[in-house]
Amino acid sequence: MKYKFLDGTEVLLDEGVDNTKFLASFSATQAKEVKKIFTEHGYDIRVVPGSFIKMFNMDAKELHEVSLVLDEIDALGLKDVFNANLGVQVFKRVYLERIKFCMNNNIPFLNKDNTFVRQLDNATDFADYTAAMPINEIKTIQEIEENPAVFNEAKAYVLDEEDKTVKLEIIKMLGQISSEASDPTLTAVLSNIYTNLDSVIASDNKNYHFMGIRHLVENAFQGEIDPAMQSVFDTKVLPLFPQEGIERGI
Amino acid sequence: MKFLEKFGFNKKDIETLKENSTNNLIKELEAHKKLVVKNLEYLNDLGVTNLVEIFIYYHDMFLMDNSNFEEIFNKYEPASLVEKLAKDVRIMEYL
Repeated sequence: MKYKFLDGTEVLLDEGVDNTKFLASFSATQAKEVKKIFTEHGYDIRVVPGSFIKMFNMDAKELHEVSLVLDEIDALGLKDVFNANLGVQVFKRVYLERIKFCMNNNIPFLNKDNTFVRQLDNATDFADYTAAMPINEIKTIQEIEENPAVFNEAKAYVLDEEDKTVKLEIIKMLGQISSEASDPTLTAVLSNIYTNLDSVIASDNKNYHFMGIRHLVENAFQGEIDPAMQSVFDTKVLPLFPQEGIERGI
Repeated sequence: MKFLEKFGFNKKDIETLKENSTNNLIKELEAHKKLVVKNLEYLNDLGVTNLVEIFIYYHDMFLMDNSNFEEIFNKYEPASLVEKLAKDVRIMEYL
């Protein structure tokens, strides 16, 4: 069913959704601009869930902030993940900052089905979730800002769009075991892989076209590894990546 | 949003609600709180067990006229409706 805002902007709702339920946003003043910024950033919003109609009811200040968030999501290479998780909250600055914190500290933020973990939904649950990490492994924003050379080491390895797609695919696959993040050994294994992933992909010279992505994960797992970590890597991580590589259509 | 506390909303829930909304809608909820409360009471009396979750994602629906709001739900057998809503809040869109 079509949903038409007062300013003439139209979107389609999922089959079977009655648009009269969401008339609270009918007179949204920025609907046209909201549709424009999402479309310009490559989001498919031809058909949206009813719960997303509120998004069109943003004011100008919120719209500006969302525009900046969309730019940053692009820069992080996470657009596809967000496109699959359309919702009002996920495009809020505070939500993105929680995801960035997870990324910087190698804390899983995706479920097996590539939806965002519920612990991102509010500050209290997020604090509990990240508190499970050993305190001395958590990097504060100040540390990241004071030591850009250290934390930008990964950024020195430039990934093109294709590389970013491969990286995201690996992160999604690893996300299947993120529900076990309370296991400290698994956390250490995932942290090790994430730390080295950019450099391994960048230096692979796109051999992943022929060899698949399993070898990238094998090469990313390096450095200080104890037998417990090796065992977890062999039994929980490697089985996620088939031996012959994955058909990616790249 | 203090009026939500009597329906079991705590500080964390209200924070999540605000993150799932817009400035305009929060203002509307406050401006029409009597109507919103009436619609919340209807679902509460029906025995809905995940009222907080429903409101967080679908609070704009609670700005509907009360009789239209009730009409959405009173087509269904209450116990079955409550069970289905608890299982997946997204059926709110398809009722």
